[in-house]
Amino acid sequence: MTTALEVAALEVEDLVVAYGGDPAVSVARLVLPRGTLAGVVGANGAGKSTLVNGLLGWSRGPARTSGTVRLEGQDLSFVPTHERVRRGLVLVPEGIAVFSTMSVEENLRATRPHGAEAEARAFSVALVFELFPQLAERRHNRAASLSGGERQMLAIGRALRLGPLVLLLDEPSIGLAPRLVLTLLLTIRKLVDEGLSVLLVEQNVRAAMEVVDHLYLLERGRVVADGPVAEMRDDPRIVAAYLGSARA
Amino acid sequence: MNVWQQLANGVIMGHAYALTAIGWTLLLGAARLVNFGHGQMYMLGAFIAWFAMRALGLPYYAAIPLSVLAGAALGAVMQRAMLRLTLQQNLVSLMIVTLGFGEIFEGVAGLAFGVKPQMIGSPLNAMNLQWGPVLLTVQDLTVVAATIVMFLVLRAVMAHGLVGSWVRMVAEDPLLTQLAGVNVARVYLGIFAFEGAAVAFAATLVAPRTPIITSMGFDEVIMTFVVVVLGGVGSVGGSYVAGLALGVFSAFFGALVAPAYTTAAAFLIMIPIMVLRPGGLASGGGLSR
Repeated sequence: MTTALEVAALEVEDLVVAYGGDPAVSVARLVLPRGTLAGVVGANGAGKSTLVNGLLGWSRGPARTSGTVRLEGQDLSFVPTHERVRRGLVLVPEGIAVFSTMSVEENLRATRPHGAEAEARAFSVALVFELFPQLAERRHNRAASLSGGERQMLAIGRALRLGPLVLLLDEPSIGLAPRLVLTLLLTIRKLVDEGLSVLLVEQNVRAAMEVVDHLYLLERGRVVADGPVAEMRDDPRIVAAYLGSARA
Repeated sequence: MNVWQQLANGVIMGHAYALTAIGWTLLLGAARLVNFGHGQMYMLGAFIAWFAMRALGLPYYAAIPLSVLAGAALGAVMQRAMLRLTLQQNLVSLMIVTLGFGEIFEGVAGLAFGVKPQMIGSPLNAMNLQWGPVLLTVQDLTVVAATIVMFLVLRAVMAHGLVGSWVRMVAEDPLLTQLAGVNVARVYLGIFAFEGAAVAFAATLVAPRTPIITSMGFDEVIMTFVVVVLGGVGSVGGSYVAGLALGVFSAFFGALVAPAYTTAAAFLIMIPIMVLRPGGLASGGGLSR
């Protein structure tokens, strides 16, 4: 996927995330080339969220993380979560990823890039509103009053305000109407086409395959298959996962 | 009874309660922490100012910033010691630890400053003002003015400042705040340092009005607790209103019944309010309100 000269946007080696004694995720290698969109798919409980949270050393539970995470060649393995974000590895976690007591605009203004490099990459509040016009209309409303789709847009908008080099999106389509899912994923694709690197965790395999370049299939915390989406389309395990999500 | 004088006393006492509670209001709202060492921090703030004037020969106006700096340092040290418990939001352990800190502060203060009552010789306390039936000192007016300024500034910072928005983010979801690139441990450090500085500032303005003694911390913590709880957890405006109401109530209760039962009466009011309105008078207000 990457040549020897080209530094990947994100490179992961021997990542292990454990709750208690048993590893929930054990990934030997995962590479995200610059300006690409990779999907991580798998059944419920396969460890998709644990994987992306582990990339930031972040968890809402008592997780222990080990392994190597490189962002644009920089080793972040021993860097605390907030510093990883400052350097450009930004996560939109699953579930509520906005501050519900704040207004839409307060959420965006309070989330700022740290440092000149991040500042140069970061979206202004006006640009976020341009990307998601619905948010502009509700700029003074509390985030708690937003619909599920609007909250996801706000969460992604907040992440873009930080000037990410790599954006990790954990199930952005969860709970959204099918039409809105496609709109959201196409917006993400547009951001990638403009140069952003994105790792997208998605349970909706069918929708993910419409936009991603590369696919990782996770089972019981391990990558059991990966490759360009065109090659993966006919993989029987992907088909099984696809049918699973189609039934769901 | 001189009603106007009692009203003035109540307003001044209320502002003193509110000023003493301001740091705890932020601490409770942002860190969800009840600091039972708060009263002893007030006592230390007063005694550091007294010591700076008595032993170091500093004027009152120089003793104030010295005490404030010492209070900020004390708050920061407490935070470092309790960081793990704070991040885990381990409230029961935190209550016990802060109670322990308070006892240690009181013991150390007794050893360092003695157990006799002392007076902070503020020049503002000697300046009297008479308006009809009401007699006040410039110290009293300074307490009122400083409280109003502190509350307005804190409210503006919480509502519009970047640091204020970080504090509100930490208050709502410290883990999600990390994902905005904010060093949550440093925000907590700032909150604790602010609490220490604010209570020391309150002590340097309020304490010169009465004799100070190293065992006075417990009484202070009780009334401050009533103010922050009645005001609504972490509500800046709520604490101001609760402090003012408690001050006016205490002044009239003391004049009409007996000052000795004021604390008991304050709790008698607080308990039904908390039963009927568990979030306090300004429940749902939030830190910026």
